Amino acid sequence: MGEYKVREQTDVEPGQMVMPFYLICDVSYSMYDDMRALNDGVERLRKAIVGEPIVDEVAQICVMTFSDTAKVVLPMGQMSHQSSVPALSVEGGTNYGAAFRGLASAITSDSASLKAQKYKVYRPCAFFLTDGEPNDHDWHKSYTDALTYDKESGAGLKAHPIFVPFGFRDASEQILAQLAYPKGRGKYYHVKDKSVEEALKGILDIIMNTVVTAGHTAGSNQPAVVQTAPAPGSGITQGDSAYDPDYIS
Amino acid sequence: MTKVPYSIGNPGRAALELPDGLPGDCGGPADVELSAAALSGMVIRAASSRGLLHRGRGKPRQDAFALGHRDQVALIAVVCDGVGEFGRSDEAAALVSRCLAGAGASGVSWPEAFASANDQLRKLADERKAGENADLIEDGMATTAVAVSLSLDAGGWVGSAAWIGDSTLWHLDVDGTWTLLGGMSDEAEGYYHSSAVRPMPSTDGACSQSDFRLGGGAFFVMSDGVSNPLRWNDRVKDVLASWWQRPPEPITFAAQVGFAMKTHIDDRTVIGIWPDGGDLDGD
Repeated sequence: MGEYKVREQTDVEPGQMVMPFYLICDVSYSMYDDMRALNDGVERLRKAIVGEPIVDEVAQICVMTFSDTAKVVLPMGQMSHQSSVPALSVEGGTNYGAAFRGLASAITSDSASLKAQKYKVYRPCAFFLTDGEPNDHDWHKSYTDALTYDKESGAGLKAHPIFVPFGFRDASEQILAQLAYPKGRGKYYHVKDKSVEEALKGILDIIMNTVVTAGHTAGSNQPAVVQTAPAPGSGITQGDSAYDPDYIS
Repeated sequence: MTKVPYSIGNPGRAALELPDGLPGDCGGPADVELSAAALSGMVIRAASSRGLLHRGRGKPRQDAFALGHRDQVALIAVVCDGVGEFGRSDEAAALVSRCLAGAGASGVSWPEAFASANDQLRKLADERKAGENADLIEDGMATTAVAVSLSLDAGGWVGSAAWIGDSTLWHLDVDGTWTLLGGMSDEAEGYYHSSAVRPMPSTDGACSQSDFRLGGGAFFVMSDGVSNPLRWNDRVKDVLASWWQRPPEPITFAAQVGFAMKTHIDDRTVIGIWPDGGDLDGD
């Protein structure tokens, strides 16, 4: 058995449960000085999950990047079945709309694939890691169109994720609050004076806590993702969703 | 590495690699609870096992069961599944299972029994939350419950089941066919899977109820730690049917209830009820 890659049976039994998580990383120019820390942090996150057999068994992770376009760099899968995460490299601008559309496409495709394999799929959780503000002025419309759902009208993405923005450095808290979804339950996180690694540690905590409470939750059919408050002194602030479909960016 | 005496399909990394968990708090529930009983033509096995999730996190088993009888004729069988979101749900499951078994043995109707158990649970939950430095999650409690009374009449089984939440009652016939008699059905599933339930305490303790009369076979009252893989996987249906066509030795039954299967890491509880002699034809 390799240190951070585990061999186990990979066959899928109908009825296996899976919690999909998406990590969408900003690789725009402004991230140039952060790329080493970002790559190290993502790899540490992978190793930490592999080191927790319960979490590794239930969580499946997809790593995406975005700049002018979005792409999947590590397809949805169990972390112990991967030997490493491909190196992320800096690219172009900060186009949020491209990220949102790319994520919606990945979720639609992955959900269909997992369901076809007869997995019992929990609602996905998407972590959006960014250090700046969007270049695209219509980012909010792109977000609403691609990743939200109106129960009454049936418009939007029924398979929408729980969207957890993690901004750091120059990311705008006002924009992060608009992106946290669904309203009433979604939260955003902001890491003002710390590194991208601190943000990734916060993401890992949420993944661990969410899987640990994978059993029953009381109440209505609400998302079960556990967005715990950051530890005192962590340098991370947390805020509630202010998502407004009529917000004008 | 931990031995896995019983598994169905891929046991998963957690079953193969996790060591035994930390011991529970002093006075807390044992990892495995087991009973064997007999009653007017019936053989009963009951087992509850701490799931891998709770073992891995050093948390106590939150499932509970209770057995009783009415006039040595009717069996009373109750299974409760504490809501994992709350830290004291093991207390809720223990309290409600005993309340319902006691009420059932006294001949109280299931709706009255559930309403009374709900009141007692709310009182305990309020006391815990009123404690100094109490935390709403860590000191919170809630549970599902399924309660069954079952007796043998001329030619077959006569029973009544009631429930709140997703703990279930199943019938296994001589051909190995499983039928859900009470508890959550597949229709509740939405676009995504959700582990959310509407547990006790509730506003009024109102329960769902079903009466039945069946010619033969065996009955299984269980928490969703077993009923979910049973509902979703045909291989689980076949294997459990083959294991439980006749009553196993009690310790074997407990080990089988804890079978390993990837991603199914919740607590497990089953009460099995067979006709005396193990003949599922009921002859």
